[in-house]
Amino acid sequence: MAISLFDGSANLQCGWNLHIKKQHQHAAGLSSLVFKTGFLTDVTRLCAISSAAHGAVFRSVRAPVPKSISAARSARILCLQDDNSNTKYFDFVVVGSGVAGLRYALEVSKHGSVAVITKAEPHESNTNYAQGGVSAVLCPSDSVESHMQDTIVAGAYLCDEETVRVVCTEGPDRVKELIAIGASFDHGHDGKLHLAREGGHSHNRIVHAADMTGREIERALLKAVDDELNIHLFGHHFAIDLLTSQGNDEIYCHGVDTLNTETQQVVRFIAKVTLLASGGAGHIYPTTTNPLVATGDGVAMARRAQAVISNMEFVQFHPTALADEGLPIKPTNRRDNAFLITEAVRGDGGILYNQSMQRFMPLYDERAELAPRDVVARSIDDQLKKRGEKYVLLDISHKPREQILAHFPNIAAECLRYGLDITSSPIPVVPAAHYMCGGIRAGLQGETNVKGLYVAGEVACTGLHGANRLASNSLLEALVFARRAVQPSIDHMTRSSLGIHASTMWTRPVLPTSLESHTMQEILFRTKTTRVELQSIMWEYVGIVRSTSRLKTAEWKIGELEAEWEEFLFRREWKPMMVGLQACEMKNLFCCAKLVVSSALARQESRGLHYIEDFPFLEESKRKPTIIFPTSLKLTWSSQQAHKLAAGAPR
Amino acid sequence: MASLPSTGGSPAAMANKLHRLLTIPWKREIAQPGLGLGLRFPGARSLASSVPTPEEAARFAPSPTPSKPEVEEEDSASTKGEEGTTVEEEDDGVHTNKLTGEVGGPKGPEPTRYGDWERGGRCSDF
Repeated sequence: MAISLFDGSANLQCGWNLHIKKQHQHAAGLSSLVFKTGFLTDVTRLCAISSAAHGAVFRSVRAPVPKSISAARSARILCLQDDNSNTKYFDFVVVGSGVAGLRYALEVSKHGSVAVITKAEPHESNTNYAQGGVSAVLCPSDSVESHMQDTIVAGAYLCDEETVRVVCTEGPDRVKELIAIGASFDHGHDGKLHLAREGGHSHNRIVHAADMTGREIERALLKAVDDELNIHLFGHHFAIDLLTSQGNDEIYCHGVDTLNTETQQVVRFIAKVTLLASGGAGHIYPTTTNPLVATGDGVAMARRAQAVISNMEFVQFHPTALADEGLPIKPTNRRDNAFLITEAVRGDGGILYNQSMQRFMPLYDERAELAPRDVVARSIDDQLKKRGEKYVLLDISHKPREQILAHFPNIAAECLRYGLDITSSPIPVVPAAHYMCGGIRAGLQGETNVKGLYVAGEVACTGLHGANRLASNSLLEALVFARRAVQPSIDHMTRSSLGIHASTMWTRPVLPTSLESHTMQEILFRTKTTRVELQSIMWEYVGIVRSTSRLKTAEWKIGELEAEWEEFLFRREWKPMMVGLQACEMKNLFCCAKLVVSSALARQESRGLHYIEDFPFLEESKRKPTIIFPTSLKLTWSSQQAHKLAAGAPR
Repeated sequence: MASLPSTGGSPAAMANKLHRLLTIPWKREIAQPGLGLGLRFPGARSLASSVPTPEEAARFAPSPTPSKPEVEEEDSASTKGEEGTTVEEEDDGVHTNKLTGEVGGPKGPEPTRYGDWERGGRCSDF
C-alpha cells in the first residue's frame, strides 16, 4: 500500500517512515489505530499512512492545507488518538504556555510530537505580564562573574552556585536565540542591544522591548509555535494531575490528565516526557500581580505525584500595590492583578503614613521612605498587622501638581477612575505577592525526582534565586532551563515506550454531572468564599513579617478550612474522583499554601524574603535550601490525585 | 524626623525593637568579618539582602542628574501625557533617547532610575 501524505514531499515520507517504525513497536496489535494530525486552529484531520509491511492499517482523508504550513516542512507523526479522542498520545507534553513551556516545545518538536496544554488563552501567563526585561551579560565591560555576584548577593547567599554559574553563562546565548526566533528588543543607535540597569545589578544588562518585554517574548514564541507543525496547542485545558507509576523504587511520569473547560470533558494525555512550566501561585494571597491563572497548579500536581518541593517560604512581595479598599469608589470587580506603585514615587519624595496619618518609616529605618524595597515591605506589613488595617497611605500630594501628573500619569489616571486625586490625597497601598522563588526541586537539567518529569520557569526551584530573586532573572531562568531540559528529555523519550494499554492504567476523573444544578451552585459559591478565606489567612498569618506562633495559627486555620470545605463538598455527594475547574484550583491553592507555611516554619532564621520575628538574624548553619519530601501521612482529599491506579494495572 | 503621637503600647519601644530587628544583621556582619562564611567574592557584602551597604542604598536613591532637568522642564510642560524631556530626537518616526542612545525605547525618564521598572508610575517589574 502506498503511503500518501498531504503534501507529498520526499522529506515528509522519510519522516513518516521513521516514525511509523518507532510507533509501530508500541502499537503492535492495534489494528484500528487511527493517526490524526492536529493543528493549532484545532482543525484535526486524519493523515494518511499505511504500511503493508508492518501489518497495520490506517484510514486517510485529504484535507486543505492551512496557509501557515510550508510545503517543505516535514511533519513527523504528530499524535495518536483513540476513537473517542479523550486520550491523546504524544512524545512530549508541556503544561503551561509561558516562555519556559514554549521555548522547550520549540526545541523538542524537532524530535517528536508535542502537546502544549494551557488552562486559558495561550498568552495568559506570568510571562505576558513580566514587562521589565531579561538579564544577561551582553556588554563587554560586564562579566558572568559580576552577574553571578549580583544574583548571589540578592539571593542572600542561598543560591546554588553551580546553577547561578550555568544560568549567567548560558544567558547571553539564550537571549540571542530569542532574537533569532523573532523577538524584537530595543537597540541603540549603534545597532547593539540597549541594556538597562535594574536594582541589584551592578551593570547595565537588562534586555527589553520598551516596557513590554514579556509580552514581546510571548508573542514571538507563540508565532514560532504556530508555525511548527509538530506542536499542538490545547488552550482551555486545565491540568488536573500527573499520571504516575512506581517501580524499582522510582516514580515515573507518563503524562497528565486534563479538563477541557470548554467542552467539560476529561482529556488524558499520555506522553513519554512531561514538562511542567505552569508558573506561579500568587493567588494564595489576596493581592497579587499575577494573572488569575496563577493558582500553583504545577507545584500542587507535582506534590501529589511525590515530587520533592523546595524553598516555598521565599515569596516575593512588592511593597506598594494600589489598595482597592482605600479608594473612594470601590471597583465593582475584584482586581485580578495588582497595580503596582513604583518606587519612584518614594524616590520623588512620597511619604508613607498609616491610617492615623503617622509617618512610620523612620521608626524602622533611618533612610525612611528611601530604605530598600524589602525593608519598606516589612515595615508596611508590620504596621498593618499591628494596627489591624488593610492598607497604608503613600502621599505625594505635597509635590507640585504638574510634576505629579507628568511623572505618574498612569497612577493619576487609575486613581481618578475611582474618585481619588493623587495631587491632593494620599494613595492607599498594600503589598502584593509577585513571585515564588521556590517550587519543584530541579537539577541542572530541569530534572526532578520523578522520572520523565522535567520543570522550568517559576514553577521550578533550580537554586538560581536562593532567598530572593534578582530583577529580570526570572525570564532568564525560564529560558536557560527550558533549553537545558531538552536533551535529557529527548534521551528519555528515546528510551521510553508508550505502552498500548497506558491509558487504562489509571481510573479516570469524572465530571460532577450527577450533581443537581443548585448543588453545584452552592459548591461553587462555597469554593469561592473558601478561596477568599484562604487568601485572608495567608496574608494575615503568612505575610512578610512572620512569627512561629502566627505560622502555627495559619497551619491550624488552613487545616480547618480545608477540612470544612472538603466536608461541604462530600456532604453534597461530591465524589473523590470528581473534578471541576474551581474545585481543582482550590485543591492546588490549599496545597501551595500549606507548603509555604511548613517551609516557613522549617526555616528558623531570617534570610532574604523570609523574615521571622523569633529568629530575626541569619544563621550560617541554616544556609541551606528547605526541602519538602513526599509524605503519605494524613492525606487530605486535596493532597491526593484525582485518579487511582486501576485494579490489575501493572505496578 | 516626624514625631509620632503616642498611641499607647509604647511605640518608642516598638520602634526600637523593630529598628534593631531590621537593621542589626547588617551591622553584625560588618562588626564580625570572620564568620567563616566561605565567601568567595572580594568585598563580600551583607548577607541580609534587605539591608544593603551604603553603595547599594545609593543605587536605590534617585539619581539627581536626570530628575533635576526633568523637574525644571516639566513644570512648564503640559500636564498631559508622560513624555519626559530627556529624550527627544525623532528619527524617521522612531524616537531616540538622547542620553542613552536607545532607539525605539520608552520615552520619558529612565524606567529603572529607582531600581524597579516603571512607566508613568506603574511598576511592572522589580
